[in-house]
Amino acid sequence: MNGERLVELTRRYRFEAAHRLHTTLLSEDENQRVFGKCCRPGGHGHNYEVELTLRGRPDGMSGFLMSRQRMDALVEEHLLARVDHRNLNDVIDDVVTTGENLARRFHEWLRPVFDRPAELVRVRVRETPKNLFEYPGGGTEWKN
Amino acid sequence: MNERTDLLCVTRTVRFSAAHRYHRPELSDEQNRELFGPCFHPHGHGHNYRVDVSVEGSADPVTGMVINLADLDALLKSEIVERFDHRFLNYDIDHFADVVPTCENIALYLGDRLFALIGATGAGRLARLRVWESDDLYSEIAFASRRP
Repeated sequence: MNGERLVELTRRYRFEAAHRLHTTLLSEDENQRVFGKCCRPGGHGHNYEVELTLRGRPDGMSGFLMSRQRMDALVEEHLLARVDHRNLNDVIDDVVTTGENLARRFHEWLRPVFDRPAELVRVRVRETPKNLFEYPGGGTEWKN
Repeated sequence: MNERTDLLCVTRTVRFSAAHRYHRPELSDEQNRELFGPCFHPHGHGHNYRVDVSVEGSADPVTGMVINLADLDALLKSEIVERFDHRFLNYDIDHFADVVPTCENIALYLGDRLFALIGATGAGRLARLRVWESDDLYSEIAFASRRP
């Protein structure tokens, strides 16, 4: 019975980083109008939270979709080490570092890492207590 | 009326505090420690668990309820709180004698039982059950309208 059906596991991680919302595709006036205070030249920072949702069948022996230690190690290597205490504009320089783009980019980075035994099906990025961005990564129909 | 647009979902939360331990008797201590880390400690450890139970259905035209919360509470009390609260899950719940009581397995176990029990009330059906082990970790199981 267990081992055949799908469950989701959601784990929350945290990192701290600077960023600035600005694009060379717009004039300085347009940047100012669109991004407001988020566009100030020196940048600013957030205590980000990232919620990652895996979906799959728990291992028949361990009962894990994925062991917490393994998941933490992969997230550290492929996400947190790249963004924690960085300026996100240095790390991601091809799109504006909005919460929307971060959620999508983190999914791009992590999707190949969490292919098996559990797939990454959702990335949520909380930029502040007021702002939550969610990228539904798709995945197979899972209702049991 | 389109059947879908009539659906509502009500979520009730219950909490219990329990101990558990992760280990597999067929593995050596060393293998257990590598697989489960600190969760392998022989005396166990505990969590303040939280379970979100979401029942879906149409609201009764007279009562305005998907399911009477008093009925749901009684069911959650006997099925979850009275059986799980202040227990050692590996020893006190038969199912977890040989199934590791991970967040995932608790969600599967409770999901199956509550799907049947809520279905039997005739008021709504279990759509989703979420088991929180801590603020930073939860497992969830979802059910389709009709199970094969």
